[in-house]
Amino acid sequence: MTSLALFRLPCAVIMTASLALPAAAETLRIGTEGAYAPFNFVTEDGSLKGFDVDIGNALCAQMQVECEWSAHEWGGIIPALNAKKFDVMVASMAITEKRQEKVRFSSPYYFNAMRFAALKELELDTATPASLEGMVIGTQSGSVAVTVLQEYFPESEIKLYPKLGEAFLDMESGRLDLVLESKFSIGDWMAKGTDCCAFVGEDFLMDGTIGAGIAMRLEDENLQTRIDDALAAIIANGTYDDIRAKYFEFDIRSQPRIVSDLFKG
Amino acid sequence: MLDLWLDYKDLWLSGLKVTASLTLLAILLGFVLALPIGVARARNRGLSGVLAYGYVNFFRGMPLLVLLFLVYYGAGEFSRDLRSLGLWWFFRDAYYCGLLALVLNTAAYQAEIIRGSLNGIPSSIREANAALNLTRWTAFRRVLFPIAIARALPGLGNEFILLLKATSLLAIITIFDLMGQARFIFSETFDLRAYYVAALHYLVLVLVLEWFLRRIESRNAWAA
Repeated sequence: MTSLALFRLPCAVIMTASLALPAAAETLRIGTEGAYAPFNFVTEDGSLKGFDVDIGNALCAQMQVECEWSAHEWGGIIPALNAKKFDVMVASMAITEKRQEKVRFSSPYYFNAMRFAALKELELDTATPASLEGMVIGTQSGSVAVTVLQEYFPESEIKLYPKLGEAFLDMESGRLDLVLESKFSIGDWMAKGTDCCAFVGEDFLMDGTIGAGIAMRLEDENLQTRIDDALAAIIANGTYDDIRAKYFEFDIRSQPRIVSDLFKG
Repeated sequence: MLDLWLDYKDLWLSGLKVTASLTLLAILLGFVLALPIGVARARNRGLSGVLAYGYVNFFRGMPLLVLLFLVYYGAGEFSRDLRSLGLWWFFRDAYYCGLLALVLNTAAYQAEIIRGSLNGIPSSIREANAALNLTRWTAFRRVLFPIAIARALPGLGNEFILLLKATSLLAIITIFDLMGQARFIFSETFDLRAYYVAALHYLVLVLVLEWFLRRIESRNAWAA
């Protein structure tokens, strides 16, 4: 503990010094993943871009604070938030009960529905547990799609990738038959000119999913109120829809079907 | 920590099996590949010397993680060609791709260890071989090789232990080894103890491997 305190001392000095210089603007440290296009991704020049980043920046503008962005590995993003590496996570994280034990969520800022994409050569017209029996399905480890696959598709083989892009590579090479992920991410990948694959079945949400939320630490109750208010404000003044239109041609704020309703029995 | 192990007992045991089998196969296949390369390195003459030198430096110069991505995703890029060559069944499987990368990597290091121990054999022993009129093959098989292996064992053991731990990299190409299972269990529970459990498994594997190596070393001890 002593060594930690000693280490922090110079940092504190530097931070107070740098905060004193500008007109004392509050800085909001926002974390995201940076590998989940079009929501959050790193561009060629190394900067973070995407829907989440634009929403985060709009919230900062609304709250009149400075945004400071950082990118984190998805598998460790909740521990990073709780270890105070950053204060707010705008990373398209689906709100689930399990996650709510670890972090506090804002009200949902969009619904990130999942959908299957399959190799065209399989000529699938439905995506049900029966029709996908024995097939190899890939997704990103730690995503809610894993839970869906485990629960409803026990007869399929599941492969988990640290990054979604790697699952897409394995779709293109034919190691995977299907991929289950956010329809947005899959759509973005297809838009880049892949013609190996096509969407099958309809889109759906996890049970108990309330959509994607902005996460912060459990104790930051005030921050949540401020974020929720800012979110309501940018929805009301049209900023939200302007940002959404930059990325998607469709509404992403209405609720799709629930998975247990779709695959029951 | 026991509860976390018991809750996911099947996953931990299957991860243990995958890690152990990958390590064992990589050690054995790597040794088989390393032996001729190491001998060619020690001889250091002609085309075989040049090729062995090139092999060792190419694979020692490449991080295992990079090699792994090149073998796995690189092969994916050529899936059409590999299919027409009838090799896709091998490269389609993450396990085989991972094993191949491990073997290519460890063979380079093992070859250098073997070269070192062959070169370190005193010239008096070679002179004795000549005096006994042994053929080169007999001299190698009955004298030089046993001495070289005995001398190489501590170094090889070190490499085997490094290799065992390097298998944890394979989790990133979708292999459910110990590390892969730990990552999965962590993503299910957000419980950091999953990595402690994984670390204990690796420790146990290393201790078992070390025990085997000690036994083999004491059997092959060479008073030189």
